[in-house]
Amino acid sequence: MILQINFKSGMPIYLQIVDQIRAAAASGALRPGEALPSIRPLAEELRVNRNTIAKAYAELESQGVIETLPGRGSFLKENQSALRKKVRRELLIEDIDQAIVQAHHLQVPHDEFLELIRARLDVLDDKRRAHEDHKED
Amino acid sequence: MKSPTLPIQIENLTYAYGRREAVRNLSLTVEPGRCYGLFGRNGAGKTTTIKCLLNLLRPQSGQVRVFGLDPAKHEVEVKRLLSYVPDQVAFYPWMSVRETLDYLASFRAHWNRQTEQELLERFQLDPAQRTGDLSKGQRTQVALVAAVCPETDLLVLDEPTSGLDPIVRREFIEAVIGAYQQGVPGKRTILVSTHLITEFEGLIDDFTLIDHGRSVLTTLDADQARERYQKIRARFAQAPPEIDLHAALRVRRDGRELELIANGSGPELMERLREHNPEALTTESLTLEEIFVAILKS
Amino acid sequence: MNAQRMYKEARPLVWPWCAVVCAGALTLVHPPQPLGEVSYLVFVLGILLLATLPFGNEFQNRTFSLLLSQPISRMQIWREKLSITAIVVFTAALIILSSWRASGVHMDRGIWGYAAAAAIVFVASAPFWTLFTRSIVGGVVLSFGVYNFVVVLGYQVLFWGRGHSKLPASTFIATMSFVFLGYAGLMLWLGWRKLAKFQAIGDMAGGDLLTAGPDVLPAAWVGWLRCRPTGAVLNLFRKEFRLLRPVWLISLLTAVGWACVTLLGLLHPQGLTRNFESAVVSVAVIGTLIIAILAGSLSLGEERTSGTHLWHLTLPVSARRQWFIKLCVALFAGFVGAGLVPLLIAGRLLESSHMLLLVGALLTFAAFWCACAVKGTVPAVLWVLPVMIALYFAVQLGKWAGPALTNLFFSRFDPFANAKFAAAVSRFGSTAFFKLIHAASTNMTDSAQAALVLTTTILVPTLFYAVVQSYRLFRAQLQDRALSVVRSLLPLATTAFLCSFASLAFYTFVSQAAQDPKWTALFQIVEAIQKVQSGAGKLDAAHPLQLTVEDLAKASTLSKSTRRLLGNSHITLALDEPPHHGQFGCGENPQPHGLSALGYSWYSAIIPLADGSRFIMAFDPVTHYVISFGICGGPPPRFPVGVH
Repeated sequence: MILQINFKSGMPIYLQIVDQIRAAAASGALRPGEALPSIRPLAEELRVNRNTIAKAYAELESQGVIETLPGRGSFLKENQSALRKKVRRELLIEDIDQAIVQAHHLQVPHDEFLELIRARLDVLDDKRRAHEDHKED
Repeated sequence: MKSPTLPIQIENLTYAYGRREAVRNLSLTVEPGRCYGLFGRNGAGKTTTIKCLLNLLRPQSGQVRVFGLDPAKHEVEVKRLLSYVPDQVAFYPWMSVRETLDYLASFRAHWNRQTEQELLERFQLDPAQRTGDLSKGQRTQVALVAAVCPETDLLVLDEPTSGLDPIVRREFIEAVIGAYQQGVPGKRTILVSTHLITEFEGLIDDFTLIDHGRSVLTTLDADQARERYQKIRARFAQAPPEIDLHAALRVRRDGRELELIANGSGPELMERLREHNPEALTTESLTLEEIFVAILKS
Repeated sequence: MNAQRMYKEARPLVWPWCAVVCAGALTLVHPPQPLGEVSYLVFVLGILLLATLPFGNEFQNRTFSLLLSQPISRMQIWREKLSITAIVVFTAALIILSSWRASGVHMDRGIWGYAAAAAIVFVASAPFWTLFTRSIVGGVVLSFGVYNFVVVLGYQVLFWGRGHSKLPASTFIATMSFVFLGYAGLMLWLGWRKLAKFQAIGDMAGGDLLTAGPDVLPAAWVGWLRCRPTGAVLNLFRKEFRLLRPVWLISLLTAVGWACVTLLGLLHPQGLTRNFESAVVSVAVIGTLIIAILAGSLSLGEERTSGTHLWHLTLPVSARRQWFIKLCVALFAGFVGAGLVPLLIAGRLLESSHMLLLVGALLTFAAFWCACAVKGTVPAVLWVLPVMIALYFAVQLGKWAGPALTNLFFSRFDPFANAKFAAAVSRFGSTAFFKLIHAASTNMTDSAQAALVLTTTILVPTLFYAVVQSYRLFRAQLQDRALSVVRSLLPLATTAFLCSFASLAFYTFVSQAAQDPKWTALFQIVEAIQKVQSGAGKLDAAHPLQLTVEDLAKASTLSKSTRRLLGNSHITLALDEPPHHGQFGCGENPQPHGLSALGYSWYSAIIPLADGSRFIMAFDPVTHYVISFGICGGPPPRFPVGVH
């Protein structure tokens, strides 16, 4: 799994790592039960403060994306959220609203926006399928 | 009320070389477990500040506390609690690497031999070689090994990577992250003074900027700073009329193009620019080095 | 007191300590008078240098900040450094003084007292001055200079006091010791305070105060010394003058010392006791020595250490020009500081003033050569004495080898059988060179000066070679090893050896040619007969001893020309009796001489020579005192050169 930090994005580093790991999990690059890189080598590779990586992993753990077994490392959890379906839907609605506001500001019309969403979902499906095929090889 | 466990607390530090004031009313605080960046141009007063921490210089006024202790009064205690990599590393030229490390270990109660071995292997240093025959990068590496092995609570780095080749610089930072940041996270504090900010970008948690001996910025969290400081670029169909841009830190006009550096007022400035219907409008965050340049050039 | 740290302190002092001890203990090996005095001066200078090295090395290596950043208290640092200084200095002093005693130098209590006082005072004051000036050279210069003042002033005051009141000697000694110990205590206290408050300003340990410190000159002079944008050569001169600032400083201090010496000489022309006089004069002389050595080695040594030398070699100025300017300014500084100033101030006190100038110039150049051969001022200073000793021994070796080998040559060959060849060679005897060597080697009244003149003449080619070599070394990139100096020294010493060898071989050869072979034969025969006689028993009148040439040759060496003259003669050795008793002469008309009345009995020998003349000698068999000898018959031999 290749992570990349962009200092120009304005997003805190640990959040970037959280997002990238979540994206990897969503696209199948990271499979449930697979081990995440341990903190020290990841920090050395990215040349980032260890505390930052630790913070990112703590955040992922609190979101229920990974679980840390003492002495063994961190592993991706099965996609079982502890939250109720209603709560999950409400969390997603927040993010969707933000995207809609952004589309308005960027002057992207309604239909084009829906087109874009469909296109991006397709891309994710392609990626996931590619990782599945890779696994079978 | 001063918290007794703050690694470094400096208040109104003033130091002058003869008549030339190098540091003027400098105050800064370093929180435990964080990596603190002291940025400034050459000659801004960074090295002077650090020397005051070690009682190599005695401040004319102000207060310096390292873990609550005054370096002038409790010299040995303070030095036991920290380790130091200077900007110009000099060793006794007749000693070998092994001898130098043993010599420096004799001052310390605790010395991690295993870490020393790992680092020597990683840096590919020959323990039998005389320090007088080493290159500058290798000497800095020896100094780093000597600073990491005692596993002190505070690591002070003064311009550690200036003059080193890119690979040695990377290895240096990796060694700091890997070898120094072991152990209890809250107990490993780093103070880095440098003007080569790009490399330390990922390592820094908090930072401040010194210029002409004065602190130009209150201590900022690195992530927050990257959020606040933004570069906004706009291109207009014709030369734009006068826009109220006084909220920006720096403005640059080039014909139809406009570049702004904003300090926290990014959204507001974006709105103002949008009112004038630009052809293109982009925004991006600044890295710490760009923040450094932007602030000191304005 | 950590054993490892003490070892680390002692390690860089090993070679300097050995150098100083060997130099001081030279008297054990070979004590001709000049070397003995040298070793005394070396004692003071060496002790001083050893005392400044513990702190000075930290500044030299720029590791003082490293030491101060370690968790060790300043008191601990002070204790460790002071104890290593004391150990090093006192052991060196003890060894040197014991070696003086063992080699028979007259050691009265005054010298012991003075030496002990010097050692104590230097150990106490060198740390302070080194910390104050942040360099080794500064520490040496100032601790010596101030000590100079204290000694001279102290002696002046106390001597005046002693002269004007009839205090016993013990009070006087007690007061002097009090002065010394007081000064030592004050310096120790100041040194500790300096270390406790030390601030590492600037480049790791701070700039060297003497070279980089504030200007003390009036503004006009400083203005002249400031470099201008045009005129590279003049700028180079200015830079050299500025680099030699410590030398000007100590010249000033020593000038004051010499003034005090003159004052002493004027006030008490006859009342000076040996101790005071030698102590005060030696203090001024040591200053002069320091000036000469520093003048030669300081500028290049400091430039090499600080890295500016390498940088200068990349500038568009020819290296030869830079080297030449350096050499000129060094010689000028040595000449003025070590030669002219003492002469002007204390001229009438010193005899042989030309010698002082010459020695000063030679020492300055030797220091310059050493500075070219090694990297750094302190190594250059330490190498000056070994280099001079090596050259001295090379010259002595040549002086011995020249005549020895020539005589060996003469015992095998007889080149002067051909009289024309001998005459041609002997014409060289009238050259100035020959006369100079002759005057130097036989003139006994002014042996020191003559020896110096001789040495200088012989060494002219050596000097030339050394000059060329110093230029080559100036341009070279040096390793930090001692072997490289030895490698440069070897050809120089060989040149010196060859020069003296050649000169003395030439001298011996020519004087042999110029000499009538009969005189040489005479001396050899006398020696041979005396040796034979002591081997034989007592003779009586009735039994003279008959000897052949072979017997003589067995007893002692005869050169080929002697054998040629003797031919196959038979020598008669007999107790002297009438008709020759008490008379000297040839043949029919012997002349009486007065010794017959004294009643001694002596032997006489008659040796017929191949050309018909006879050689007659008479000598006392017990003491071998030759009463008379001469040649009868044949042409009178030419007198040897120089004999009147």
